[in-house]
Amino acid sequence: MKYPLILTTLLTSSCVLFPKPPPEDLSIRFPDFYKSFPTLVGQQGQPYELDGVTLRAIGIAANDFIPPGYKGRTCWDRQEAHLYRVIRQGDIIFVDISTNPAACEQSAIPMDGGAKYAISTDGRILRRLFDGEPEDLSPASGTAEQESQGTPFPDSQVGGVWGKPDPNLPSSWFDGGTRSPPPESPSAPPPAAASPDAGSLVPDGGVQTPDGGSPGAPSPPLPPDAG
Amino acid sequence: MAYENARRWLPGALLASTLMVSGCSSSQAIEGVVRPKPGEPLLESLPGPMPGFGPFDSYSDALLSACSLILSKPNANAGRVGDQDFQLRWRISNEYCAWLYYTPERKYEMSMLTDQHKLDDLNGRRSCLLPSSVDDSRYPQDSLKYIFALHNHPYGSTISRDDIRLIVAEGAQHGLEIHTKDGVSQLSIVAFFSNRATEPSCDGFHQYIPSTHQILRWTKTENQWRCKQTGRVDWHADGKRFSITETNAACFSKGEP
Repeated sequence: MKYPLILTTLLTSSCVLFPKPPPEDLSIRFPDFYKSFPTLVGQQGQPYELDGVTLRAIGIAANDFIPPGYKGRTCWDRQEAHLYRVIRQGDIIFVDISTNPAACEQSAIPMDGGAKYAISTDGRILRRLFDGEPEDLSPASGTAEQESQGTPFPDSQVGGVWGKPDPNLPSSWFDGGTRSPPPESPSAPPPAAASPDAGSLVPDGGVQTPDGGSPGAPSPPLPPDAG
Repeated sequence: MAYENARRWLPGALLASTLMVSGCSSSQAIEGVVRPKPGEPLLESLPGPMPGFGPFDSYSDALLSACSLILSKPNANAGRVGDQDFQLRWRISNEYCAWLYYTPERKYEMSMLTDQHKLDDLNGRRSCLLPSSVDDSRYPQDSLKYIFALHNHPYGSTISRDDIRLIVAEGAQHGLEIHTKDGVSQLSIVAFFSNRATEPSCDGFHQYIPSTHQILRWTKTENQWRCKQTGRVDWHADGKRFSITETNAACFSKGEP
Protein backbone atom coordinates (compact mmCIF):
# COMPACT_ATOMS: atom_id res chain seq x y z
CA MET A 1 0.00 0.00 0.00
CA LYS A 2 2.91 2.28 0.65
CA TYR A 3 3.96 2.58 -2.99
CA PRO A 4 0.59 3.52 -4.43
CA LEU A 5 0.48 6.13 -1.70
CA ILE A 6 3.88 7.50 -2.71
CA LEU A 7 2.83 7.63 -6.35
CA THR A 8 -0.43 9.35 -5.49
CA THR A 9 1.37 11.86 -3.30
CA LEU A 10 3.89 12.60 -6.01
CA LEU A 11 1.21 13.02 -8.61
CA THR A 12 -0.81 15.43 -6.52
CA SER A 13 1.89 17.51 -4.90
CA SER A 14 3.96 18.96 -7.67
CA CYS A 15 3.76 20.55 -11.03
CA VAL A 16 1.49 17.84 -12.32
CA LEU A 17 -1.22 18.99 -9.97
CA PHE A 18 -4.05 19.72 -12.34
CA PRO A 19 -7.49 20.84 -11.36
CA LYS A 20 -9.73 17.93 -12.09
CA PRO A 21 -11.86 18.84 -15.05
CA PRO A 22 -15.34 17.43 -15.40
CA PRO A 23 -15.41 14.07 -17.16
CA GLU A 24 -15.26 14.37 -20.90
CA ASP A 25 -16.84 12.32 -23.63
CA LEU A 26 -13.77 10.96 -25.38
CA SER A 27 -15.91 9.42 -28.11
CA ILE A 28 -16.69 12.85 -29.51
CA ARG A 29 -14.92 13.55 -32.78
CA PHE A 30 -14.33 17.11 -33.90
CA PRO A 31 -15.43 18.29 -37.33
CA ASP A 32 -12.94 19.59 -39.86
CA PHE A 33 -12.93 23.31 -39.10
CA TYR A 34 -10.63 24.04 -42.02
CA LYS A 35 -12.42 22.22 -44.79
CA SER A 36 -13.47 25.50 -46.39
CA PHE A 37 -13.09 29.23 -45.92
CA PRO A 38 -15.10 30.54 -42.98
CA THR A 39 -17.46 33.48 -43.15
CA LEU A 40 -15.83 36.44 -41.46
CA VAL A 41 -18.01 38.08 -38.83
CA GLY A 42 -17.43 41.71 -38.02
CA GLN A 43 -17.12 43.34 -41.42
CA GLN A 44 -17.57 47.08 -41.31
CA GLY A 45 -21.18 48.20 -41.53
CA GLN A 46 -22.63 44.71 -41.97
CA PRO A 47 -25.30 43.34 -39.63
CA TYR A 48 -24.79 39.86 -38.22
CA GLU A 49 -27.13 37.82 -36.08
CA LEU A 50 -25.98 35.16 -33.65
CA ASP A 51 -28.30 33.00 -31.59
CA GLY A 52 -27.80 33.01 -27.86
CA VAL A 53 -26.94 29.35 -27.59
CA THR A 54 -24.03 29.73 -30.00
CA LEU A 55 -22.92 32.92 -28.28
CA ARG A 56 -22.95 31.15 -24.93
CA ALA A 57 -20.98 28.22 -26.31
CA ILE A 58 -18.28 30.51 -27.65
CA GLY A 59 -18.16 32.30 -24.31
CA ILE A 60 -17.86 29.05 -22.36
CA ALA A 61 -15.03 27.86 -24.57
CA ALA A 62 -13.22 31.21 -24.46
CA ASN A 63 -13.56 31.45 -20.66
CA ASP A 64 -12.29 27.94 -20.18
CA PHE A 65 -9.38 28.55 -22.50
CA ILE A 66 -8.39 31.82 -20.84
CA PRO A 67 -10.36 32.53 -17.64
CA PRO A 68 -11.70 36.07 -17.28
CA GLY A 69 -9.29 38.10 -15.20
CA TYR A 70 -6.35 35.87 -16.01
CA LYS A 71 -3.18 37.89 -15.57
CA GLY A 72 -0.98 36.68 -18.37
CA ARG A 73 2.54 37.75 -19.12
CA THR A 74 2.07 38.53 -22.77
CA CYS A 75 -0.35 40.12 -25.18
CA TRP A 76 -1.20 36.62 -26.40
CA ASP A 77 -2.70 35.69 -23.03
CA ARG A 78 -5.97 37.45 -23.83
CA GLN A 79 -9.17 36.18 -25.37
CA GLU A 80 -9.05 39.06 -27.84
CA ALA A 81 -5.78 37.76 -29.27
CA HIS A 82 -7.48 34.69 -30.69
CA LEU A 83 -9.66 33.63 -33.59
CA TYR A 84 -12.80 31.54 -33.08
CA ARG A 85 -14.34 29.21 -35.64
CA VAL A 86 -17.71 27.65 -34.89
CA ILE A 87 -19.55 24.68 -36.37
CA ARG A 88 -22.87 23.41 -35.07
CA GLN A 89 -23.75 19.74 -35.47
CA GLY A 90 -27.03 18.68 -33.86
CA ASP A 91 -26.92 19.42 -30.14
CA ILE A 92 -23.21 20.13 -30.08
CA ILE A 93 -21.51 23.41 -30.88
CA PHE A 94 -17.86 22.96 -31.78
CA VAL A 95 -15.50 25.87 -31.20
CA ASP A 96 -11.95 26.12 -32.55
CA ILE A 97 -9.63 28.64 -30.87
CA SER A 98 -6.35 29.68 -32.46
CA THR A 99 -3.88 32.55 -32.21
CA ASN A 100 -4.42 35.68 -34.28
CA PRO A 101 -0.93 36.93 -35.17
CA ALA A 102 -2.37 40.30 -36.17
CA ALA A 103 -3.68 40.89 -32.65
CA CYS A 104 -0.34 41.66 -31.05
CA GLU A 105 2.71 43.59 -32.10
CA GLN A 106 5.10 41.49 -30.08
CA SER A 107 8.16 40.15 -31.79
CA ALA A 108 7.57 36.57 -30.64
CA ILE A 109 4.63 34.67 -32.12
CA PRO A 110 3.15 31.44 -30.74
CA MET A 111 3.55 28.08 -32.39
CA ASP A 112 0.64 25.86 -31.40
CA GLY A 113 -1.22 26.88 -28.24
CA GLY A 114 -4.82 26.70 -29.50
CA ALA A 115 -7.66 24.36 -28.58
CA LYS A 116 -10.92 22.85 -29.75
CA TYR A 117 -14.07 22.54 -27.67
CA ALA A 118 -17.30 20.59 -27.92
CA ILE A 119 -20.07 22.44 -26.05
CA SER A 120 -23.57 21.09 -25.57
CA THR A 121 -26.48 23.34 -26.36
CA ASP A 122 -27.27 23.39 -22.64
CA GLY A 123 -23.87 24.86 -21.93
CA ARG A 124 -21.67 21.96 -20.81
CA ILE A 125 -18.13 21.31 -21.97
CA LEU A 126 -18.31 17.84 -23.46
CA ARG A 127 -14.71 17.69 -24.62
CA ARG A 128 -11.65 19.91 -24.97
CA LEU A 129 -8.61 19.16 -27.06
CA PHE A 130 -5.47 21.26 -26.87
CA ASP A 131 -3.17 21.67 -29.84
CA GLY A 132 -1.10 18.60 -30.53
CA GLU A 133 -3.12 16.36 -28.22
CA PRO A 134 -4.28 13.05 -29.72
CA GLU A 135 -7.99 13.02 -30.45
CA ASP A 136 -8.22 9.24 -30.58
CA LEU A 137 -6.93 7.79 -27.31
CA SER A 138 -7.43 4.16 -28.22
CA PRO A 139 -4.15 2.25 -28.06
CA ALA A 140 -4.66 1.09 -31.63
CA SER A 141 -4.35 4.63 -32.92
CA GLY A 142 -0.90 5.26 -34.26
CA THR A 143 1.20 6.03 -37.22
CA ALA A 144 2.69 2.68 -38.13
CA GLU A 145 0.78 2.49 -41.37
CA GLN A 146 1.83 5.95 -42.43
CA GLU A 147 5.51 5.35 -41.77
CA SER A 148 5.93 3.05 -44.73
CA GLN A 149 4.34 5.45 -47.18
CA GLY A 150 5.95 8.16 -49.20
CA THR A 151 8.59 8.70 -51.81
CA PRO A 152 12.16 7.77 -50.84
CA PHE A 153 14.69 10.60 -50.71
CA PRO A 154 18.43 10.60 -50.00
CA ASP A 155 19.47 12.23 -46.73
CA SER A 156 21.05 15.10 -48.66
CA GLN A 157 17.65 16.23 -49.96
CA VAL A 158 15.60 15.94 -46.80
CA GLY A 159 13.74 19.17 -46.09
CA GLY A 160 14.15 20.52 -49.61
CA VAL A 161 11.25 22.15 -51.38
CA TRP A 162 9.80 19.98 -54.11
CA GLY A 163 6.67 21.85 -55.07
CA LYS A 164 6.32 24.73 -57.47
CA PRO A 165 6.09 28.16 -55.80
CA ASP A 166 2.78 29.89 -56.45
CA PRO A 167 3.29 33.26 -58.14
CA ASN A 168 -0.18 34.42 -57.05
CA LEU A 169 0.03 34.43 -53.28
CA PRO A 170 -2.16 36.95 -51.41
CA SER A 171 -0.74 40.42 -51.90
CA SER A 172 -1.52 41.35 -48.30
CA TRP A 173 1.25 39.02 -47.19
CA PHE A 174 3.79 41.37 -48.68
CA ASP A 175 2.43 44.69 -47.49
CA GLY A 176 5.35 45.08 -45.15
CA GLY A 177 8.10 43.91 -47.45
CA THR A 178 8.96 41.85 -50.44
CA ARG A 179 8.39 38.27 -51.40
CA SER A 180 12.07 37.72 -51.91
CA PRO A 181 15.10 39.46 -50.42
CA PRO A 182 17.84 40.31 -52.91
CA PRO A 183 20.01 37.48 -54.20
CA GLU A 184 23.42 36.92 -52.77
CA SER A 185 25.86 39.71 -53.48
CA PRO A 186 28.48 38.93 -56.13
CA SER A 187 31.05 40.15 -53.64
CA ALA A 188 30.04 37.55 -51.11
CA PRO A 189 32.82 35.20 -50.16
CA PRO A 190 33.04 31.98 -52.11
CA PRO A 191 31.41 28.99 -50.56
CA ALA A 192 33.40 26.47 -48.67
CA ALA A 193 34.22 23.29 -50.48
CA ALA A 194 30.89 21.83 -51.36
CA SER A 195 29.88 18.84 -49.38
CA PRO A 196 29.71 15.89 -51.75
CA ASP A 197 26.18 15.14 -50.73
CA ALA A 198 24.93 18.69 -50.43
CA GLY A 199 21.61 18.66 -52.19
CA SER A 200 19.92 21.53 -53.89
CA LEU A 201 17.10 23.32 -52.16
CA VAL A 202 15.36 23.67 -55.48
CA PRO A 203 16.00 20.66 -57.62
CA ASP A 204 14.55 22.09 -60.78
CA GLY A 205 12.99 25.26 -62.01
CA GLY A 206 14.56 27.30 -59.26
CA VAL A 207 17.07 30.05 -59.64
CA GLN A 208 20.58 28.79 -59.24
CA THR A 209 23.27 31.20 -58.32
CA PRO A 210 26.25 31.31 -60.67
CA ASP A 211 28.41 29.63 -58.11
CA GLY A 212 25.59 27.47 -57.08
CA GLY A 213 27.20 24.84 -54.92
CA SER A 214 26.02 21.48 -56.00
CA PRO A 215 24.19 20.81 -59.21
CA GLY A 216 20.51 20.08 -59.23
CA ALA A 217 19.62 17.14 -57.11
CA PRO A 218 18.82 13.92 -58.89
CA SER A 219 15.16 13.34 -59.41
CA PRO A 220 13.60 10.81 -57.14
CA PRO A 221 11.53 8.19 -58.91
CA LEU A 222 7.97 9.15 -59.58
CA PRO A 223 5.65 7.22 -57.33
CA PRO A 224 2.59 5.60 -58.80
CA ASP A 225 0.29 8.27 -57.40
CA ALA A 226 2.30 11.21 -58.65
CA GLY A 227 0.34 13.66 -60.69
CA MET B 1 3.87 -9.59 -0.49
CA ALA B 2 5.59 -6.34 0.25
CA TYR B 3 8.22 -7.20 -2.33
CA GLU B 4 5.54 -7.94 -4.91
CA ASN B 5 3.89 -4.59 -4.24
CA ALA B 6 7.21 -2.83 -4.50
CA ARG B 7 8.00 -4.54 -7.77
CA ARG B 8 4.64 -3.50 -9.15
CA TRP B 9 4.62 0.14 -8.09
CA LEU B 10 8.20 1.22 -7.73
CA PRO B 11 8.98 1.59 -11.43
CA GLY B 12 5.91 3.76 -11.92
CA ALA B 13 6.67 5.87 -8.91
CA LEU B 14 10.27 6.32 -9.98
CA LEU B 15 9.22 7.23 -13.51
CA ALA B 16 6.68 9.70 -12.21
CA SER B 17 9.15 11.38 -9.90
CA THR B 18 11.86 11.43 -12.56
CA LEU B 19 9.52 12.91 -15.11
CA MET B 20 8.30 15.46 -12.66
CA VAL B 21 11.76 16.54 -11.68
CA SER B 22 12.72 16.96 -15.31
CA GLY B 23 9.29 18.19 -16.23
CA CYS B 24 9.16 20.99 -13.69
CA SER B 25 11.98 22.53 -15.59
CA SER B 26 10.53 25.92 -16.30
CA SER B 27 12.93 27.48 -13.83
CA GLN B 28 15.79 25.07 -14.40
CA ALA B 29 18.51 25.88 -16.85
CA ILE B 30 18.71 23.57 -19.85
CA GLU B 31 21.80 23.54 -21.99
CA GLY B 32 21.20 25.41 -25.23
CA VAL B 33 17.83 26.81 -24.10
CA VAL B 34 17.22 30.48 -23.33
CA ARG B 35 14.13 31.95 -21.73
CA PRO B 36 13.17 35.18 -19.97
CA LYS B 37 13.47 35.27 -16.21
CA PRO B 38 10.22 35.33 -14.22
CA GLY B 39 8.59 38.71 -14.56
CA GLU B 40 10.69 39.71 -17.53
CA PRO B 41 9.23 40.35 -20.98
CA LEU B 42 9.45 37.84 -23.78
CA LEU B 43 12.70 37.38 -25.62
CA GLU B 44 12.65 39.64 -28.67
CA SER B 45 15.42 37.78 -30.46
CA LEU B 46 17.20 34.47 -30.10
CA PRO B 47 20.97 34.42 -29.64
CA GLY B 48 22.95 32.43 -32.14
CA PRO B 49 24.65 30.33 -33.10
CA MET B 50 23.95 27.28 -30.95
CA PRO B 51 27.29 26.41 -29.37
CA GLY B 52 28.79 23.20 -30.68
CA PHE B 53 26.12 22.78 -33.36
CA GLY B 54 27.43 24.03 -36.68
CA PRO B 55 28.24 25.53 -39.02
CA PHE B 56 26.95 23.24 -41.76
CA ASP B 57 27.57 23.38 -45.50
CA SER B 58 24.32 21.58 -46.23
CA TYR B 59 20.82 22.59 -45.19
CA SER B 60 19.78 18.96 -44.80
CA ASP B 61 22.69 18.14 -42.51
CA ALA B 62 21.79 21.16 -40.40
CA LEU B 63 18.11 20.25 -40.36
CA LEU B 64 18.66 16.65 -39.32
CA SER B 65 21.16 17.65 -36.65
CA ALA B 66 18.66 20.17 -35.33
CA CYS B 67 16.01 17.45 -35.23
CA SER B 68 18.15 15.20 -33.05
CA LEU B 69 19.22 18.04 -30.79
CA ILE B 70 15.72 19.40 -30.15
CA LEU B 71 14.23 15.97 -29.53
CA SER B 72 16.93 15.23 -26.98
CA LYS B 73 15.74 18.05 -24.71
CA PRO B 74 13.78 17.20 -21.54
CA ASN B 75 10.20 16.12 -22.21
CA ALA B 76 10.35 16.92 -25.92
CA ASN B 77 8.59 13.62 -26.66
CA ALA B 78 5.48 12.09 -25.19
CA GLY B 79 5.66 8.86 -27.16
CA ARG B 80 2.53 7.26 -28.57
CA VAL B 81 -0.95 6.72 -27.19
CA GLY B 82 -0.48 3.04 -26.52
CA ASP B 83 2.70 3.57 -24.53
CA GLN B 84 2.72 3.08 -20.81
CA ASP B 85 2.57 6.42 -18.99
CA PHE B 86 1.62 8.29 -22.17
CA GLN B 87 -0.86 10.51 -20.34
CA LEU B 88 1.70 11.58 -17.78
CA ARG B 89 4.35 12.15 -20.44
CA TRP B 90 1.91 14.19 -22.50
CA ARG B 91 0.96 16.40 -19.56
CA ILE B 92 4.53 17.38 -18.81
CA SER B 93 5.74 17.47 -22.39
CA ASN B 94 7.36 20.62 -23.64
CA GLU B 95 7.90 22.44 -26.92
CA TYR B 96 11.19 24.04 -27.95
CA CYS B 97 11.65 26.34 -30.92
CA ALA B 98 14.51 27.94 -32.85
CA TRP B 99 15.54 29.33 -36.24
CA LEU B 100 17.74 27.64 -38.78
CA TYR B 101 19.42 30.41 -40.76
CA TYR B 102 21.96 31.09 -43.48
CA THR B 103 24.92 33.31 -42.82
CA PRO B 104 26.96 35.68 -45.01
CA GLU B 105 29.70 33.05 -44.88
CA ARG B 106 27.34 30.71 -46.74
CA LYS B 107 26.86 28.36 -43.85
CA TYR B 108 23.77 26.99 -42.19
CA GLU B 109 23.46 27.63 -38.46
CA MET B 110 20.85 27.21 -35.76
CA SER B 111 19.98 29.74 -33.08
CA MET B 112 19.74 28.71 -29.47
CA LEU B 113 16.44 27.19 -28.43
CA THR B 114 13.72 28.72 -26.34
CA ASP B 115 10.74 27.21 -24.58
CA GLN B 116 9.02 30.45 -23.66
CA HIS B 117 5.30 29.96 -24.00
CA LYS B 118 1.97 31.66 -23.49
CA LEU B 119 -0.58 30.97 -20.76
CA ASP B 120 2.17 30.18 -18.26
CA ASP B 121 0.23 28.63 -15.46
CA LEU B 122 -2.69 27.11 -17.31
CA ASN B 123 -1.99 23.42 -17.54
CA GLY B 124 -2.54 21.29 -20.56
CA ARG B 125 -1.53 23.91 -23.09
CA ARG B 126 1.78 23.75 -24.83
CA SER B 127 3.20 26.28 -27.23
CA CYS B 128 6.47 27.94 -28.09
CA LEU B 129 6.79 31.65 -28.70
CA LEU B 130 9.35 32.07 -31.46
CA PRO B 131 11.16 35.43 -31.58
CA SER B 132 11.16 36.80 -35.11
CA SER B 133 14.89 37.41 -35.32
CA VAL B 134 18.26 35.94 -34.45
CA ASP B 135 21.06 37.92 -32.88
CA ASP B 136 24.35 36.46 -34.10
CA SER B 137 27.03 38.90 -32.99
CA ARG B 138 29.33 37.87 -35.84
CA TYR B 139 27.05 39.37 -38.46
CA PRO B 140 24.74 42.35 -38.94
CA GLN B 141 21.22 41.23 -38.08
CA ASP B 142 19.83 42.05 -41.51
CA SER B 143 22.46 39.90 -43.20
CA LEU B 144 21.02 36.67 -41.85
CA LYS B 145 18.56 34.69 -43.97
CA TYR B 146 15.81 32.73 -42.26
CA ILE B 147 15.05 29.33 -43.75
CA PHE B 148 13.35 26.99 -41.27
CA ALA B 149 11.29 27.84 -38.19
CA LEU B 150 11.95 24.79 -36.04
CA HIS B 151 10.07 23.21 -33.17
CA ASN B 152 8.95 19.83 -31.84
CA HIS B 153 5.52 18.28 -31.51
CA PRO B 154 5.63 15.96 -28.48
CA TYR B 155 2.97 13.64 -29.88
CA GLY B 156 3.96 14.02 -33.52
CA SER B 157 0.79 15.81 -34.55
CA THR B 158 0.70 17.61 -37.86
CA ILE B 159 1.25 21.32 -38.47
CA SER B 160 -1.22 23.39 -36.47
CA ARG B 161 -3.14 26.44 -37.68
CA ASP B 162 -1.01 28.58 -35.37
CA ASP B 163 2.07 27.18 -37.12
CA ILE B 164 0.57 28.09 -40.48
CA ARG B 165 -0.22 31.64 -39.48
CA LEU B 166 3.14 32.12 -37.80
CA ILE B 167 5.23 31.22 -40.81
CA VAL B 168 3.12 33.39 -43.09
CA ALA B 169 3.63 36.30 -40.70
CA GLU B 170 7.36 35.61 -40.64
CA GLY B 171 7.38 35.43 -44.43
CA ALA B 172 5.97 38.93 -44.59
CA GLN B 173 8.91 40.09 -42.52
CA HIS B 174 11.79 38.01 -43.83
CA GLY B 175 10.59 37.05 -47.31
CA LEU B 176 9.38 33.69 -48.57
CA GLU B 177 12.27 33.04 -50.94
CA ILE B 178 15.83 32.75 -49.75
CA HIS B 179 18.77 32.85 -52.13
CA THR B 180 21.59 30.59 -51.01
CA LYS B 181 24.60 28.91 -52.55
CA ASP B 182 22.33 25.91 -53.08
CA GLY B 183 19.76 27.83 -55.11
CA VAL B 184 16.49 29.35 -53.99
CA SER B 185 14.95 28.05 -50.82
CA GLN B 186 11.41 28.60 -49.64
CA LEU B 187 10.70 29.64 -46.07
CA SER B 188 9.00 26.86 -44.12
CA ILE B 189 8.04 25.73 -40.65
CA VAL B 190 9.06 22.33 -39.35
CA ALA B 191 7.72 20.23 -36.45
CA PHE B 192 10.00 17.34 -35.43
CA PHE B 193 8.79 14.19 -33.75
CA SER B 194 10.08 10.98 -32.28
CA ASN B 195 8.07 7.79 -32.04
CA ARG B 196 9.71 6.76 -28.79
CA ALA B 197 9.68 8.68 -25.57
CA THR B 198 12.30 6.64 -23.77
CA GLU B 199 14.95 6.64 -26.46
CA PRO B 200 14.15 9.70 -28.55
CA SER B 201 15.45 9.77 -32.07
CA CYS B 202 14.71 11.88 -35.12
CA ASP B 203 11.95 9.78 -36.66
CA GLY B 204 10.42 12.47 -38.82
CA PHE B 205 8.90 15.92 -39.16
CA HIS B 206 6.01 17.82 -40.61
CA GLN B 207 6.75 20.78 -42.87
CA TYR B 208 4.56 23.58 -44.20
CA ILE B 209 5.81 25.67 -47.11
CA PRO B 210 3.60 28.75 -47.67
CA SER B 211 4.80 29.46 -51.21
CA THR B 212 3.90 25.97 -52.47
CA HIS B 213 0.82 25.47 -50.26
CA GLN B 214 2.16 22.07 -49.21
CA ILE B 215 2.09 20.28 -45.88
CA LEU B 216 4.65 17.48 -46.06
CA ARG B 217 5.37 14.59 -43.78
CA TRP B 218 8.93 13.28 -43.73
CA THR B 219 9.63 9.99 -41.98
CA LYS B 220 12.70 7.87 -41.48
CA THR B 221 12.35 4.12 -41.33
CA GLU B 222 15.15 1.64 -41.70
CA ASN B 223 17.59 4.44 -42.52
CA GLN B 224 15.49 5.62 -45.46
CA TRP B 225 13.85 9.04 -45.53
CA ARG B 226 10.48 9.26 -47.24
CA CYS B 227 8.26 12.20 -48.04
CA LYS B 228 4.53 12.43 -48.54
CA GLN B 229 2.28 15.42 -49.06
CA THR B 230 -0.40 15.16 -46.39
CA GLY B 231 -2.15 18.45 -46.95
CA ARG B 232 -2.68 21.51 -49.08
CA VAL B 233 -3.34 24.96 -47.62
CA ASP B 234 -5.35 27.33 -49.78
CA TRP B 235 -5.56 30.98 -48.88
CA HIS B 236 -8.39 33.36 -49.61
CA ALA B 237 -7.40 36.42 -51.59
CA ASP B 238 -7.77 38.48 -48.41
CA GLY B 239 -4.71 36.69 -47.02
CA LYS B 240 -6.49 36.04 -43.72
CA ARG B 241 -8.62 32.96 -44.24
CA PHE B 242 -7.37 29.58 -45.25
CA SER B 243 -8.62 26.07 -45.74
CA ILE B 244 -6.76 22.78 -45.49
CA THR B 245 -7.38 19.83 -47.78
CA GLU B 246 -6.04 16.48 -46.68
CA THR B 247 -4.01 14.78 -49.39
CA ASN B 248 -2.09 11.59 -49.87
CA ALA B 249 0.18 12.63 -52.67
CA ALA B 250 3.79 12.74 -53.70
CA CYS B 251 5.96 15.63 -52.52
CA PHE B 252 6.25 16.92 -56.05
CA SER B 253 4.01 17.16 -59.07
CA LYS B 254 4.53 15.17 -62.23
CA GLY B 255 7.32 16.77 -64.16
CA GLU B 256 8.84 18.34 -61.09
CA PRO B 257 11.64 18.03 -60.70
